[in-house]
This record gives sequence, structure tokens and C-alpha cells, in this order.
Amino acid sequence: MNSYYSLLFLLLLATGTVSAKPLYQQQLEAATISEKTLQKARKQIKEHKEIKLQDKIAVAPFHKRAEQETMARQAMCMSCHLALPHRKNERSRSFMNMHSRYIACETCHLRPKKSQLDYRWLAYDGPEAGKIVAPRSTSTVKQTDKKDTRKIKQKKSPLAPIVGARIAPFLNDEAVLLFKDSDFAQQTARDWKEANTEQRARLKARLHSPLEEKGPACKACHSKEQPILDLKALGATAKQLNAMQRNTVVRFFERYKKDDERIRIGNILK
Amino acid sequence: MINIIDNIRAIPKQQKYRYLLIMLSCSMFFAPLVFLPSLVGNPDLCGKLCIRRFYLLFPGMSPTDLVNQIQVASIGVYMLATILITTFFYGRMWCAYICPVGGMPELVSRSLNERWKIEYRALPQVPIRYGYFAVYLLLMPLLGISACTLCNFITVPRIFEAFSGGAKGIAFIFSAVGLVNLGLLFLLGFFASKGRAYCQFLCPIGAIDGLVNRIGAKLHFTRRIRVERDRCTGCNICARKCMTGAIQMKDRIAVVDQLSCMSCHECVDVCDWGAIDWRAAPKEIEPKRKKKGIEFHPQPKWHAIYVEPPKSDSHQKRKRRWRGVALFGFFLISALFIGFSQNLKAAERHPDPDGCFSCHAYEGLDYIDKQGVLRNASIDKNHYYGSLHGSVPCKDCHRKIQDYPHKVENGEVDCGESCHVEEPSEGKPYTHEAVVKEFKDSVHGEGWSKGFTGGNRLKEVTENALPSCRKCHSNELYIGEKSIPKFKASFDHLDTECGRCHQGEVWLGQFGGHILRRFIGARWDKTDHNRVCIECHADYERMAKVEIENKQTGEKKKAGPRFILSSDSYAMTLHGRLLESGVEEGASCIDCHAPKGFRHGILRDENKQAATHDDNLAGTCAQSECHGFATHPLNKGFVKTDLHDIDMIPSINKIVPIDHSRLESGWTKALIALMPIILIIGIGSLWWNKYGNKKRSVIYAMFGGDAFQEKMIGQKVKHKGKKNIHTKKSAHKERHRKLHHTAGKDEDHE
Repeated sequence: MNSYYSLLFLLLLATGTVSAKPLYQQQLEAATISEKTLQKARKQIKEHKEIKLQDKIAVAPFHKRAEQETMARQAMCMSCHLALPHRKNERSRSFMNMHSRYIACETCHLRPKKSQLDYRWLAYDGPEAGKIVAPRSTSTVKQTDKKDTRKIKQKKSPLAPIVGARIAPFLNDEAVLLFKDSDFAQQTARDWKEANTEQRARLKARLHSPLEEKGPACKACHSKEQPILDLKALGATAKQLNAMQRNTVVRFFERYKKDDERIRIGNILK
Repeated sequence: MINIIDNIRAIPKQQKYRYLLIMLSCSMFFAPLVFLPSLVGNPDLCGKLCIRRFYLLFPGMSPTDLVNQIQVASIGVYMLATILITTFFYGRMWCAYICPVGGMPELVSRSLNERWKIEYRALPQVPIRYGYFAVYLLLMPLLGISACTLCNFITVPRIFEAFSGGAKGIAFIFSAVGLVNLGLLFLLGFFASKGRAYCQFLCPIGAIDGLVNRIGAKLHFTRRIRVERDRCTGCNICARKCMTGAIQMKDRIAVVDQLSCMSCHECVDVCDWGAIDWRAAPKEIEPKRKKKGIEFHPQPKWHAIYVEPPKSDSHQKRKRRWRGVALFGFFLISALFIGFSQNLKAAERHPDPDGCFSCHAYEGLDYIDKQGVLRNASIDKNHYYGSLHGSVPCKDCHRKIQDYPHKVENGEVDCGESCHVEEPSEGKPYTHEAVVKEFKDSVHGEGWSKGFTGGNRLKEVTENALPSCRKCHSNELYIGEKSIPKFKASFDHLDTECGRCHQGEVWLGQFGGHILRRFIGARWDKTDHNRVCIECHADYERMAKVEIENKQTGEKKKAGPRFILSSDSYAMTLHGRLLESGVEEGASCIDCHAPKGFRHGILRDENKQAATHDDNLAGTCAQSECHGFATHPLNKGFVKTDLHDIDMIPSINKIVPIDHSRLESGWTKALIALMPIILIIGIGSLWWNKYGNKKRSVIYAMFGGDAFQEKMIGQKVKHKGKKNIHTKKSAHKERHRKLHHTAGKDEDHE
């Protein structure tokens, strides 16, 4: 076991020499794992059931669906989690997944107490990958690649300045997150493959140690009073700002006292 | 190699051009280019292009039925008219110079040796041709023998298609029907002397064309192959070369039968005496006036040209200005019209009384459920309002939804329930109940019609093989994109005509579209209908699992190849091919299987209520604008035409094994009879190429060659074993001809 960690450490050291480590990586390396977290990780691994994604079903959906977004370059989380990661909470899963179209996982789930993060649009893919993208209203970034067919889709995207960009946390203008194709993520994936259950539990616990399982409540952003995200700075128009801060769904959701509660839709208007 | 070059050199120059023209025609008409047929979107020479079928006569046929047949083959009708007009003035140009279907076998036949061939030219071709033509026109329709299964216009193009890798071509060639046709092509084409036996005996266009040619030949101003009797030496080379056997030596003079002549010009090219020519008959002209023995009839000079003097500049300018104003006005009106048409987009027909779009309008409301199905709760708002159910509030279908998160069972949809939308003519709530009832009584009746939720799509697929309402129908646009131009045109009319009384935006918006959609016709065209049926019925594995239950005995039986391959056999029929090439006159699956009611009542053939039951079939065929004559008692044979004939599809099929019934069909028997003959001639031909005695000057076909010599050339043949011996006279003539003329014209040394 010790040799395994020393190997991991050496590897991390090797990658660290090439560029500065993102905050998330620094935090997970520095983390101390409690027995309680380990227990939880063991239990989760034991109870985990692999989900096989169904291909196109012969019976098509009755209502026309909006076109599925072509996935941009993925964050490290997607090495294990599905592209639509929120599945359990019946009430909020669709809404949360909707947010994952333009908000990075780390924006909600990585909330360090010591560091003050700021939030910007991060390009996931394309020539600007890994860099900050200026919000649409003040955007000076232009896609130079004329052959890039996604340019057409870009017009359709209501929020993001470029296709696939997400609002992500930054520390001193450096993105705090890791991508799936980063060396660290790939090495971790290889380690996971080779590891036994106990090793996996430890790795899982470590990887999740800087993260919070539950993100902030709707109100944390959908409110005028000190929202986490400065929506205006991120390029929201007055109309969008109003729609987000005075959102009907958010107000409806505030009525729920418990996660498994059902509320009559008629009350939405009350 | 040298032999081939010599043989090509030996072809008369004019004939080389003819061969080139045929090759060009083949490349233009057949795969892989299919250039000319593709111009009218009909790549297999059937449908609109068919020139052979529209004049078939069925008992009890009304003029409307004939017009229908003509409409289906609209281009074919023009084509045949053009062919006949050309023939009238110039002889059979189409047959000899262009027709790729007759030309291709001719070229192949000419490249094979002359000895191992069948000589048909001595047969009494005129009685055979017109006898068969009468059968083709009258008897075959009566008996229900589809002339299409014997048509060279399918066979030859399909061979080219098969060689260029086309799946349909390969499928046809390996079917029993295809193989028999291929056999006929060998016997009447490739192995026939000069390769034109099909044209001589069986081609219906040839038969009509021959008649027109005969009439045209009567007139002195039309161009025909004519023989100058005084010049003919009776050398008989023209008769031997004539590919259609139209020249017969009578009293040692060549006589052309204009009922069979194709004006191919070969006789002209090979005649050393200039005794034959393609020309108008000379006209005896009497000079009108003669003065002292000299012709004198000057033509008067007539002037009938009036040149308008140029107009003044100011007039021109004024004219230009007015032209500009008119043009501007035209553009303005067009722009207004377009603007008005643009406003015809489906208006928001219902204000979402239950507030469902407060959430469901958001894009990306996705999640993956426990079964791994990607679920999407976003509803495209614009599409929904423009869809068939655009004016139906969500809760009319998802009746019990009251709370959030929604309980699954509360969202279940029953298609047979009524909804709150009022049917405009009766003012009653609209319902699909009647359609559901018809569907429930049909062969698909056990398919789902209620209990639909977004989540049980996977369950439906795994638990029930039969189609449900939503398997075939989704919430499509109220007016499909295809119908929008038609809709706009009709809307304009509606506004002016109906709008005089029914005024107001509401009427136009709400009911105008509703009524118009019905004027335009069904939302689905026949191809759409077929697409739905074929989606399942072309899935062999799925169809092979189907068990057909006898409701009286309760006995279950696995579906046979006829059922499993039904979509393939349909695709080979004229019904299917017409639709495939975009001709709406074809018949879709439900046109025959559920022609009445709500078009959902598909029943098994054995069911007495079924449109395809023996007792009802004639009525089904006789539907409006189809085969109105089908109910005539003499058309029983026609009504029994097999439209799911497995002889039309490849015998070798990996999924559906060959069963013995397929080997017992008439086509297979015909094939068994044809194969040995083809094999013997084929092998013999190859053997003769290598070891045959080619030194003799004139080589006659082994089968029927003697009869040809006796009847057409007028030579008596003395049999001595296998050899043909010429009479002294003909041998002398041959020598005489050789002495005087180049060897290049003697192409029989093959």
C-alpha cells in the first residue's frame, strides 16, 4: 500500500514540475482522510451498480426534443461520473443537469474556505481551451478556425460566449480544475483500473476530499443579495439577470422543506 | 487480340457509329450513371418512363382507367409518341440506333461466334410478333400475368445495376424471376444470331413501331430502306447480314419486309452494287411548262417583310420609365405576398393554462434513469405550438398530474380518451376513440394504446412486439414542411374565397388552417405510410419471431418466408417501385391492407372483413383512381396477381432459408428447363472459339441455320453430317464478291 502511494506521489511530483498544480489537485494531495470518509467510500463502492446507457430506443419520444448538446472536452469528474451526473434527487436532478451545460462541476462542488475564488467563463475546447473567455457582451475572442462547424451552433447558445464554455472557478487567473485528458486524470484512471476495492475506496475518498457532496442552494445564485456568481460581470443582459434572479422555479423550490416532498403545482401561482 | 482488332476493322464504318451510339445510350440509360432516367427521378425505366404498359387493355376498362394508366407513365407516353413520329418519317431509328435494351444484347451477340447460335430469323416472325402482341395487350392482363415480370426494360438495366454493385440489381438477378429473364436474355439475345430475337418477337414497342414503319413506307416522301430492283444482283449478302431477318431473297432479288425492318442501314453498307439505300422514293415530276423543249417555270418573288422605323428617343425613355414602375410594383406586391405568407407561421394556439412550460420550456432538462435511458423533460415550445397537439393543453392528455415531482402513474396517457378541444363541425370534444377501436380490432390490436409515459418506452419495446400508437405517431408539425408551399397557395385562395363570409383573424388562424389541412389532403403521403410499415416489416429477425394464431383452433404457427419477406417482395412490384420513384399513383401498404375507415384496420387475409380477403380483393383494387375495371367478372385473373411473390426476391437468403414451396413454382421450373440449353450453347460456343473450323467463308448458326438458308436466302442445303455445304451458285457468288471487294466488309470470319 505504501509503495502504491509513494508511486502516486512521485508521479504527481513529476507532473507538478511541468506546470503549477491546479488548486483542486493541491488540495487533494494535502488532504488527510478520516476513517469515517473511508467507510463511506467503501460502502459506496460496494453498493455501486454500473448503469448501461441504452442506445436509441425503437419507440421515439412523443414530443420533439431539443437537440442534445455535443459534449465539449470533459472535466476530470467525467472519468467516472456520467455526463448527466445528477440522478438521485427526483426533484432537482433535471434542473441540476441543465446547469451542468454552462456551469463547471467545481463551481458548485469545490468551495474552499481559505481561498477566495473568482468565477469566469472557461473554454473547455477549441483553440482557447483551458483559458478564460471574455463574456459575450464584451467578448473580443473570435474563433479563428473557419472550418469549425460549431460556429453555427454558437449563435444558438443563449448564455455561453463560446460553445462548450462553462463558468468555472479561478484562483489568481488560473483555473482550479482538471480536465479528463490531463496527465493526472489519466494516471488516476489507470490507477483506478488496477486498484483493488480497498485501494479504490482510498482513492475515491482522496479525490472527493476537497469537494462537497451537496452544492449550494438555488438562492445562492438566484438572488439579488450577494450571489456567488456576479452574473452581470459574466455577461448576463438585464433581461437574463431579471429572469435568473426572480425565477419562478426557484421560488417554487423554496417551498420544499424535505427532499422527498411532493407539492401541488397549483401552489406555484400562490 | 489481333483477331479482335481485325473483327472491329471489318465492321462497316457506318455500323461502327451505330454501335458507338448504342454504347453511349447504354451508358446514359443504365447504371452506374443512369443519367437520363435520373433526370426524371426514375432510375429503373419503370413508372413515369414506362413505354410498354399504358396501352394494356383490361375487360371492362373505362376511359378513366386508361387515362389513369397514361398518367402513371406520363413521360413514357411522350417518349413513345416521339418514337412513332420519328419512325413514321425516317424508319425505326429508336430501335436500331438508340434502344439500349435491344442494342446491348445485339452487341454482345455480335462479339460471340456465329456458329453456336440459334437462328430465329427463318421463323414466321410477323405472325408470331403480332400474335404475342395481341396476347400481351389482351390476354395477359386478363389472366393476371404481370407483363412487368417478363419485361426486358427491367432485366437489362438490372444486370447493369448488378454489375455496378447495386443491391437491387443483385437481388433481382438472383431471384427466380430474374434468373428466368436472364435465361431468356441469353436465348433470345446473346445466343441469338444477331441478337435481336427479343425485338423481333416479343417487344411490344417494336410491334407498334413496325406497324407505323409499314404505313410510313407506303408514302413516297418518307425515308426507308428501299431496294433498286434493277441493280440487285441477288448476291444475298444483305439478307444474311440483316439483323431482324427483314430481307428475304425472292426470285434472287432482295425484298424488304417493312413490318420487320429497323432501318439499321447495314444492308446499305454491305451492298456492293449500291442497290439498297435509305431514302425517299423518287417522285415523278412533270415540268409545268416547256418552251422549245426546255423546262421553264420561274418562281415569282414575293416581298412580305415590313421593317418598323425606329421610334424617337423620348418615346423610348418613357417606355423604360413605365417598365421600371411596373417592375417595382411587381416586386412590391411579391414582397407583400411573401411577408404575408411568412406570417402564416403557426400562432401560439393555447396559452398553457396549467403553467407546464414554466419548467418544461427550459432546454437541457435531462437525466439518466435507472435503466440507463436518457430522459429529456424539455419540450420545444415552438414546435409544440406548431404541432398537431398544439392547441391541446398538456393536462388533456397527462390528466392526473397535480404535484411535483410528478408521480409516474399520474402522467399516463390514454389515446382513446377525449380531449377538451372541440371538433369544429359538431362542437363535441374531440377523441381518437374510433381510431383506437379500429386499431384494437386489427392484427396489431394487442399493441399499446394507453398507459404511455416517457419512462416506459423501453418497457414497451421489450414487452410487446406489436406497434403502439406512439410507435408510429409522434407529435409532428400540424402542417408538415413538405406541405407548406401547398398550404400557402391554398391559404391565399381561402382568404379571398371563403374569407368573404368567414371574416376575422380568429377564423383565419384557428379554423382556416384546420380546414385547409384537410383540403391539402392527408398529412402523410403514401411514402410516409410505407416508411412506418417497413420500419418493422423489413426487420427480418423480428418478423421471423412472429407467430400467427388461428383464432378458431387456437393453434399458433410461425410466420413463413412470404410474410417475413413481404416488404422485399412488395418493393419489387410496380406498386412499390412507382412510389419509390416518386410517382404517387403507386399503392402503399395500407392502400390495399386498410383502404377504408381510419386506415388502421389491417386484418389477416383469411378474415372475411379484410380488404385483402378473396371476396373483397376486387373492390379493393377498384378503389378510385386505381384499377376501376377490377370488379369486372372477367378480371378474376388480374385480381389474383400476386403482389408478395417470393419468386421476385433472391432465392439465396441467409435469414430466411429456402423452403420447398419455392422450388415448386413455375418460375423455378422454367429456369430448370432453360439452364441446360444455355449451358450447352455456352460451353459449345467456348469450345468452338478455340477448336472450331472457321475457314469456311460463310458460317451459319448451328441451330436453325439451315432453315434460314432455305427460306430466307433461297439456297438448298444438302446435309452431310454436321457440315453445311453451299450450292455451286452461292459459292461462285462468294468468290466473285471477294474478288471485287475488300475483305473488310466480310465480317463473318469471327
